[in-house]
Amino acid sequence: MPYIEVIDVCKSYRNIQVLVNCNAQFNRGLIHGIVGRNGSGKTQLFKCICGYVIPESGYVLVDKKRIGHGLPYPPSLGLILEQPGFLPQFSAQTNLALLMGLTGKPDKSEIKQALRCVGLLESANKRVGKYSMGMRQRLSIAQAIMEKPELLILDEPFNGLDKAGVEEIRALLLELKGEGRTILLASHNPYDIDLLCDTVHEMDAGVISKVVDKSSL
Amino acid sequence: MKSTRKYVGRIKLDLLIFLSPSTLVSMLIICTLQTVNYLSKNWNSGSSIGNVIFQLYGGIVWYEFITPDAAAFWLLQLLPCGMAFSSFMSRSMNNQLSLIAYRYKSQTAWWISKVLANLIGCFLIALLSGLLCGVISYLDGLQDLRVTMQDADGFRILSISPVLLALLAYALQMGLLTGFGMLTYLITRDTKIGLLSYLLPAAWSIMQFSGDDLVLVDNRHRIINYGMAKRFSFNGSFGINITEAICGSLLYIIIFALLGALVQQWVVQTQRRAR
Repeated sequence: MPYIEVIDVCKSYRNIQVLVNCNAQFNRGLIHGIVGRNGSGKTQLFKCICGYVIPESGYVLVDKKRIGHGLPYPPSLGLILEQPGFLPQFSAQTNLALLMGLTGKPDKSEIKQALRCVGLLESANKRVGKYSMGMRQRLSIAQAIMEKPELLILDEPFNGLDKAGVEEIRALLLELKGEGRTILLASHNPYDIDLLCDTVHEMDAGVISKVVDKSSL
Repeated sequence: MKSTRKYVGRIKLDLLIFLSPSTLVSMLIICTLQTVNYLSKNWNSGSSIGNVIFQLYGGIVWYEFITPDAAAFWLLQLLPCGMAFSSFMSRSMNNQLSLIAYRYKSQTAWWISKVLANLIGCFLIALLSGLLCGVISYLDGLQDLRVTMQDADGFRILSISPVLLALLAYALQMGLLTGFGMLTYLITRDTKIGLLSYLLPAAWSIMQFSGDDLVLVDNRHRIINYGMAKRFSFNGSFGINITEAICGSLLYIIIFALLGALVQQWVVQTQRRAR
């Protein structure tokens, strides 16, 4: 039984179709890659799945619940989408505490654990305004994983990371998969997709043109 | 308990965005310069701390002349809140959205949190401005937070209430302008239009009602925002019924908040219909 189902999803902006009859299924506990050129609709598909964009026709089911129909967002979600705006005057730790505070009491141990996972524990008290682009990207990953969500949607999580950073985050994603999390990953690096993903969905001009299920090979 | 913490956490994050360092620094500079300017005038002798706060943040006295000087003076006082609003729009309602929206679970809850944080932020700006103005006045040797006023029977009494009401009206004016700006941004999703919808009504109201007293002595202009109450009163009663003025601005703030909630609901409903 698939964890996420995308059924006949269409979306357009000012008569430009960005998603055309998209159908996809994503099973639980796997890493699913979405590849395609810039503007092929990867981010729009992610926005539909996480509830930020409501399709004109079709729908998305997450754990059999329809998104946007009584349930605005998937219940247990971690997300990296576009350039996240952290508060530059505060430290990484404070930024994460503020974000965690939106859903309840911030748990310091979970925040530290997330920062440790992305290699930012030593810079946890440094102001985010002084972070490099790679460090901000690591912080984005930390905020996505800190609440231990079941579903992770990661749009280009390796952007701006150095070689060692990419290696660390790859290992982290495989570890999260081992814990049973479902990960949707968009990346332009074919090596990341090949190494990490169990299924690969190729998108072109808003259409899912090809699906490769590596787990069945 | 958890839900209380959740709501406190939401307001806290929004307030930290609203009261950004640039907002606080601009407030500090503008308030200091205006207070020092006021205190340096000769006609100010014998004044009290309360009088300085009252005159700077909402004096309600009739003056005939409306000049660009007075308008610029009051526009400056609305600048820190404009910066706060700009930061709020570009961060909390725009580039931080992907981080925070799904943590709210509901679009209406997100909007209500923004409205509350905006209102609290405006009150804090007014409070901090009044406090700073009071401290500078105290350092200049002034005392007493009360002002002289006439009671209903015509007796002269000392009272602190006009000072507090002036600050309240100042906060509500900012709340009204930012509320309108937020609603415009919510509908248009355009930061520039959102900012203009704050600045243009601010400039218009100031040009309409602020005054400049040329009566005292040549070259000593006494700039007083006598129109604070009039701007919000229902029937235009001039600077007298401040309670009515405050109720009027509160009403508009509530209307903007409700309209915003309706916009959010409309977005959800129409998307459902389209599907």
